[in-house]
Amino acid sequence: MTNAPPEKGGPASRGAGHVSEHVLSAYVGASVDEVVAWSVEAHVTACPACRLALSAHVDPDHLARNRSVLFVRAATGEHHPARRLLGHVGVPDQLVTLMAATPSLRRSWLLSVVGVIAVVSGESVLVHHLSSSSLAVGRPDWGALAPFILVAPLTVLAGVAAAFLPALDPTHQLAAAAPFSGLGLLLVRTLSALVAALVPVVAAAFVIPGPAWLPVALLLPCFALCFLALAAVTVIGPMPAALLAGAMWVLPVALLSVWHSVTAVVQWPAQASWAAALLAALVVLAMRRDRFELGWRP
Amino acid sequence: MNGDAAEWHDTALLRAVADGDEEALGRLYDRHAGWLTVRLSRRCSSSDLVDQAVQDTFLAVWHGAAGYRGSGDVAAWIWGVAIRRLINAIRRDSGRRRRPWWRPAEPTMVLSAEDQVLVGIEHGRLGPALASLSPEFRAAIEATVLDGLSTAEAAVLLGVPEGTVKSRCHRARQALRALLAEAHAATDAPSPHAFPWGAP
Repeated sequence: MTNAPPEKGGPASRGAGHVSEHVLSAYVGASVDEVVAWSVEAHVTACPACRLALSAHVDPDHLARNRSVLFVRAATGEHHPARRLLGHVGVPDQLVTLMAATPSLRRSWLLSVVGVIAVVSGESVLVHHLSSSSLAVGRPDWGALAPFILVAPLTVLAGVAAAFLPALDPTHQLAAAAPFSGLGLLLVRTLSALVAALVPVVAAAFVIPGPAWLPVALLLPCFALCFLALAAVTVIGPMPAALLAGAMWVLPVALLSVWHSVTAVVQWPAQASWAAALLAALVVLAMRRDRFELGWRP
Repeated sequence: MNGDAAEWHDTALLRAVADGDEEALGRLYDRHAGWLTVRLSRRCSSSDLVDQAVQDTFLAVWHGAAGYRGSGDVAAWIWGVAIRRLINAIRRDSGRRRRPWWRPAEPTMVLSAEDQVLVGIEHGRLGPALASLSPEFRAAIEATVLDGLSTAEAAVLLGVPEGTVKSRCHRARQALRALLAEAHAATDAPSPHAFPWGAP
């Protein structure tokens, strides 16, 4: 037995004893009365050839989109408590499906973010204790924070990048089926990925020894980096955009840590430039939002 | 390949899907999603709800929730699942976008004489009798008799109270009985035997 559908023949080859193509298309166009429609339905239920002919009247793109939604739903599970909660609160089901299919909102991803943050925070704590026990008390030196400051925003950026990098995205077809504009969809996923990744970062910033303003000071650079990456996607591809945004963080942090003033990257003058960068990124996004509309492929 | 082999194939596919075979799910979808979409669209004007019902149908098979007993026509069975998923989708939608599916006073395609023979409607007395019912009555008959829905399910699908469905069905039955009795009295000669879709 082959895997081919049982009836390969088109409408023309169905012949006598089957619903004519003329009647089928009238049935699809709802221009037959109910009695004819009932006869068509009764026959179609029992006849694989006419089912195939009837299916040919449905837009194949529409079916393909619905198919990808089905597969995401089959893969992500329906009965997750968080999913039900979101449903009860009134979040549309399709939006929940999209969020559930965002790689950076999966449990495995979030766990690895927490792991990375825990490692760099632990390292910062350790270095801080070693250096404070050997050094005389004086002006606080936050050099021990360098690994944390370097890595924390990068994990956030990676989470957002994973939300739009097509290579990581099982739903790039699904996006076209969603009742949102391309940009709206991207923003929903970006913001949910951003928030999900910021929670462990900010929590760690509270715990590790450092200036009290650190948790708040990290927010603006994180937002700026993520939206810079999104804005860059409209100009260069997704992967170069993610790398570019990453470089815009790594380079200043590396330079400043050479000069032992790594916290300067999240302090006042730098914050102003992050704010400017965020604003510029939002302007670029607003101007080039059509790049995210349906049919656009990087 | 004949129809029996295809049905066997469908049964095997159903079993494979319930066992978690993703490829089988895709093939089952490719085979049945199209006609299910068309047929559900005749009953619900919101294509979002129809799409959702189609997804829910295949998910039900996927999760093994809808147990196929291994006998009977797979297509008929899957339609029974789909129409109930559509009703659930309409219920969840809490009536916001709901409207009656029938389209009153739309230009109806005129079937050619040949098509009428093919469809087999002109032969029997039932066709004209059904056709002379009002659209509301035909909708009630379709939901309860042909789709096999309960009165409560039909009420959701048609967007009318349960009591209305009951009374419409009752009155439709009465009207059909009267029309068929009339037709019987009018015909002297027995009507020719109807071959659905034309004589072989």
